[in-house]
Amino acid sequence: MSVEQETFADRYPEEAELVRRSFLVAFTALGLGALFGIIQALHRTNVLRLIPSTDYYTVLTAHGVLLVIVFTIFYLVGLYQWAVTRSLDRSPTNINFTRSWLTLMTIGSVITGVTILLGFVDQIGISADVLFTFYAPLQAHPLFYTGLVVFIIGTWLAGVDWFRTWLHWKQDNPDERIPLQTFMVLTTMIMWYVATIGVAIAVLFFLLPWSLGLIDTVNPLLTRTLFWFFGHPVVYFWLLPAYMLWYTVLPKLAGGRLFSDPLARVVFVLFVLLSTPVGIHHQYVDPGIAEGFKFIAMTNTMFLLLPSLLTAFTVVASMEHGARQRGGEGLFGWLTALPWRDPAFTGMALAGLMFAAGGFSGMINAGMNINYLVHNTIWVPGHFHLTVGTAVALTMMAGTYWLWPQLTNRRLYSRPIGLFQVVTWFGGMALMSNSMHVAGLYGVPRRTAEPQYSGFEFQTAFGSIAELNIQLAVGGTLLFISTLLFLGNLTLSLGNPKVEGMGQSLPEPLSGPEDSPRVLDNMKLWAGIALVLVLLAYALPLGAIIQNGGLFGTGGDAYPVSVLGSFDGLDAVRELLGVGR
Amino acid sequence: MHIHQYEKLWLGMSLVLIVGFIATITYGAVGVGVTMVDDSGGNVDPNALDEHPEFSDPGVQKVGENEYEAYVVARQFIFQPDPIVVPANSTVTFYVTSADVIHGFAVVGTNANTMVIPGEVAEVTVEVNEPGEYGIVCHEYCGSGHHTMEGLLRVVPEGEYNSSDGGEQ
Amino acid sequence: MNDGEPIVKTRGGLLVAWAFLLVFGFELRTALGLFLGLDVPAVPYLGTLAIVLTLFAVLADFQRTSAQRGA
Repeated sequence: MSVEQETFADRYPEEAELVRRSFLVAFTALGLGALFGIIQALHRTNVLRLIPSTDYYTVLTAHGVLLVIVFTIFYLVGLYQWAVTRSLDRSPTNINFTRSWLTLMTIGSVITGVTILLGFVDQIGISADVLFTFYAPLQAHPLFYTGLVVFIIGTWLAGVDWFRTWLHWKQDNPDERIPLQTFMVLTTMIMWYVATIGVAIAVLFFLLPWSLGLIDTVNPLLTRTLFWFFGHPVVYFWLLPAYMLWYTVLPKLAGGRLFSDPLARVVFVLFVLLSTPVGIHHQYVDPGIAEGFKFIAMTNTMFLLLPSLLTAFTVVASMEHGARQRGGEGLFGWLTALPWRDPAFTGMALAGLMFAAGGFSGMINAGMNINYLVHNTIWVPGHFHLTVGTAVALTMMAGTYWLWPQLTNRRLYSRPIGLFQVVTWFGGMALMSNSMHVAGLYGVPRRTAEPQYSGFEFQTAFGSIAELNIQLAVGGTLLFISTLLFLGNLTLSLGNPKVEGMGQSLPEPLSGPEDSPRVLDNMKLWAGIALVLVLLAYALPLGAIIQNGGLFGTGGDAYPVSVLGSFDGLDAVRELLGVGR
Repeated sequence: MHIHQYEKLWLGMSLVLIVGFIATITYGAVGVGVTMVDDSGGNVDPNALDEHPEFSDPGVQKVGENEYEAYVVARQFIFQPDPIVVPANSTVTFYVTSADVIHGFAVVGTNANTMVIPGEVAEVTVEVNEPGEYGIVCHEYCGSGHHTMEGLLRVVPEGEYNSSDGGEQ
Repeated sequence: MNDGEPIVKTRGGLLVAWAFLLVFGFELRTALGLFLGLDVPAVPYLGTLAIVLTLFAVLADFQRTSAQRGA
């Protein structure tokens, strides 16, 4: 067996096992999240209502948390562990430390996940029907917040692990540029540390003690603003692993090499700097925040388009290069020379295409005063099902088709089914997301179990609401089928025999890191600037919110969103601690 | 740093697009004059709305020639008052707050759209034109009955509007 | 593209092209509806589009396999 054909599993068996475990948790969450998704799609369109509408919000909370917290982030840590180990050609400093953060993340997910699912069981007074954004004064059971805290601490430790591995590598390789994949991991984690400051403060200082009865009230605008401090950069935490695959793996799949390593570094640095000081664009129509702060968030957001636009160029250029290496010719003819039979390639290409559409609808969302037309309508889920739902999720599935054999030494069960799966996702998402965007423009709200109102009708420009509902239901069904095909294909792959020669190397870029200034690798500099920008964007608005409404609000009851059972153990704890409600 | 010529072109075009977007939004803000919901509505105590001079009796009041103020309270799972009645061809400033959790307030088919946050007052000024009826939806999840939460904005011909319509129904 | 070479080289490419063109045509209907107010009836339009694209796909596949046999 040559070095070329040695797989990651051969070279790093313990690390490969941890990556597989991360993916196992990720894909379990994906399956469950997808099941809830189809329930929602059929329910809100009134095609099939299997559950009472009050339970819809339990389903929606689970769908959101399972897919954008558990699925995406477990995939990220698996992918990043692979990337760091592979690009530094080095094991973690202490693999038990690695196991421990993965375990923490798993425990946290289970605690929060079970707490949410208990919302289906009314007899037990535990629930978290607060949706992925958990806005106060809606209040979840303390275990919901606790699980999130444990999970996030796990991710922080993952970053520590990778920084440590890099620093040890740096001691052994003092003058070398950081290998590109590790560079991407480190910059992503700096962004994550900055981003989680907001939600950590909101949960640890306000929401968790409040849910335990240790403090009486919270300021809803404050905790909401702290959430969105985190809520925007988290989408880049979802996106950057997909970008890593597009930059470092997709060129190889296309038959070529990455167009430019330096530009890839610039893109990731831009995300470190600009991801967080934009969160207020999710609050354009919030009272209590001055228009000037919203305007600053808008301009920052518009500049945040730049790294994604640059990525579009590099990805397409790399694909074209690959296609021409494969013999493609002509102004557009090279497109036919791409390996469309390969589900890994096609999945990523279609994901990138849909991301362009999602990016454009995001530009609308970012347009401060235009936002009035789309805020909290179902346009917004239309947008993010293209971005996280396709650019990220479909790329992650496509990337798995390429990576899984290298993690297991087994062939994929069926490439044709894989191809059919990614194309079905593309078609299903086109149908569903299109209907969401159009219905949103007509004013149909999001996050609603029954968008059928008695006092008025939604006015359509063409077609009908009924047609849009059917579209959404059909699209959602195709997505669910696609998910089953993905999970089934992977599961059946486990039954394949172990073989040799599954190794896949990654080629060097056309333009390497030596073509870029060393300052790009200066992690401390970028972290420092990121913190300054965040301070500039958030100090004044947060100060104003606290000054006007008080640190803990002006007084208001909590709204637990389920009927509590007759026994609430927390009351006993509160009596013990002598704190009131 | 070596940057391919096409990439420089693309970078330039991207920056032009970005600056163009910022310019259009700025035009919308200062040229056309679409202002954003902001902190001008002030703060209230959501537990003491029934002691508030205006929100204790939500409704519409005339404050000038063709100028009206509508005080609206959102709570699980209604808007008060319902319907909100205003005369045609007027300028109406909505003041919306919540008695309990975060709600949304969106006049369907228009760009009147705001969050409703307990403790904060959302101030939105709109131009009302011909008579008609508009649905109002709560678009922020506010509890188990969220999907039932709707209201109505009724624009009546000027002659038909009398001040007693605004407060009661 | 050289003369004599089939438009599509693989069935996989054919599937992707078929799906892409169908989605493109579908989105076109939305653009016509929202920008021009044209109400293109959904089922006749999409049904026809799907049938036409499938016919093209079959022909392209035939061209591909006969080119392979000829080569």
